Amino acid sequence: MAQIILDHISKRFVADGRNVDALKDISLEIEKGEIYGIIGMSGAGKSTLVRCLNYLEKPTDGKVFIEGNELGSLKERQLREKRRSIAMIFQHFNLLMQKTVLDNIVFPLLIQGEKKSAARQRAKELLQVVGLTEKEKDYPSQLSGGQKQRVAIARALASNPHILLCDEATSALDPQTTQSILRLLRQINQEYGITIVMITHQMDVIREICEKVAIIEQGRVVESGYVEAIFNHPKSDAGRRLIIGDAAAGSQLGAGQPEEGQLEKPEERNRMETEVIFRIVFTENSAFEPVIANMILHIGEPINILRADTKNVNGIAKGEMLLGIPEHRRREIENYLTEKGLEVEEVDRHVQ
Amino acid sequence: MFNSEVLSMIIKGIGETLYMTIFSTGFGYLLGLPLGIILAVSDKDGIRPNAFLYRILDVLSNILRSIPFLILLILLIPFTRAIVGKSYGSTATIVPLVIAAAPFIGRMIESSIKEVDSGVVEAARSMGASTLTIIWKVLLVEARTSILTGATIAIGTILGYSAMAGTVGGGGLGDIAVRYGYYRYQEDIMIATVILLILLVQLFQIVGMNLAAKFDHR
Repeated sequence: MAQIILDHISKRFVADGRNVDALKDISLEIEKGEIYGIIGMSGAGKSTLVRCLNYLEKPTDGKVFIEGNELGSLKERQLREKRRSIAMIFQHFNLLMQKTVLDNIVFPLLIQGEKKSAARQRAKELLQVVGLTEKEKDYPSQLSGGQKQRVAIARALASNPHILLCDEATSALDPQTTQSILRLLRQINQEYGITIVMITHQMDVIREICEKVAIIEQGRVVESGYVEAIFNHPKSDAGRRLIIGDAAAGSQLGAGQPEEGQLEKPEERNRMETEVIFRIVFTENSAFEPVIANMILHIGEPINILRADTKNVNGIAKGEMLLGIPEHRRREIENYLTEKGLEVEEVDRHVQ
Repeated sequence: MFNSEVLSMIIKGIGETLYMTIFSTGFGYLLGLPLGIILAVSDKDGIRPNAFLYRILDVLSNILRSIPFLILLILLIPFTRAIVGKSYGSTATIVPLVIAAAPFIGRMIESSIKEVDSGVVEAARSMGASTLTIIWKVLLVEARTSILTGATIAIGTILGYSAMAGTVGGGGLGDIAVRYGYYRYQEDIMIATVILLILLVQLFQIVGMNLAAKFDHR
């Protein structure tokens, strides 16, 4: 039995006399030890969804099972008890501003009725885990965003949770800090076997850390499965928009609506008409060689790199590129790239 | 003019003013703090919404705050007499002062608590904190600075009210100012008492603000 089961969850809010369906018939299973991503645009319902996992929001319909317990069947006290094994971290950290770093970490332990001295001991150990030993007497206002999130993570770990819910935990952080927080989360997942549920609107975060992902749009899960598979071949509209769309929309050639201040020149528009856009995905199968450069030499035509996002993972390039290809050479280019073990797909330039 | 008789009267007046102000503020918080907490907690965005309870306390505290203090003072005379045994003097004045201050204090506590970041409350709930724990360990702690600032304002306002109570025999500096300055045209005594009142308010303000700043770690 999966550790987390969402069974036909719906959530309806009543706002100004109107019904708003935040979640519509969502079913998901998350196994113990997984890092599971839930991605969607803002307003898709992902924050509501994650709050159903610890019943901070009670679903209007459907059941939530955590380790076999149906949360809706628990009494208030039992639910509070259960929440101790489901920790949560937030986009804006939500630390107690009037308490020191150490007291923030001690806080959940005191709620559970632990002795102050034991709690402080445990808090100090956790500060070591997140690498902030020297900050124990500081107040949150003295810390950077990344440090605050580390404190929040230490606080979340204090009660020895089995599950960690991350609600846009890296969205307020810069890219480098995001990386270090994601590394810490992965380390926690591996060392303690804690299941992590990541809510985010950033595809990069999903690719960096998650094993599986569910894409939600307008309160529905439109696609779910292994990140690798979905990233390589997104099937749903929302998935394509999240994975390819923003790339195509953000690039000058693929723009359905040109960005502000980015005037299209007439000659560029003419070129657009004779170009097609290819999205190529580097997977394990692709060799680590300068594929694009070699292809240009081989074909003898200039191509337009609209977006490139690749990473070197153990000598294998992984990631994606968006290329503007001259229309009359498309077949040749497609064949060339496919031969090199790349996934090639033509992208509608009006994906938006 | 400022002979020893007048001086000792003024010193007694200071004592009475401080006595009324401090005790009224103390009792005012004894009633106002729970009132403010219940208002904040039972409001529709509070941690335990209860529309009925909120409505009752809301209306009640608005009614009390709408009655001009002098009228309240007179209206409450039978009540004051029942509690203190007489209806004049410093101790008797404390009764209407508390009744006037409590809803005002309650409103300030309510607004201080509502300033607390709802995310922090959510975090506490996610840890399995109970409503009482959230009130004591989260709301009151995070709102501490704002509550202390509010107390500074409250004590100044109550001191002003206590001076007003002087007109109906409440004692204290206000009483002296009215009797000597207003009825007998002894302006120097009136000015002296007014300056003393200003100094007292200033003193409370400085102490209160320093305390608030000392406890603020935001």
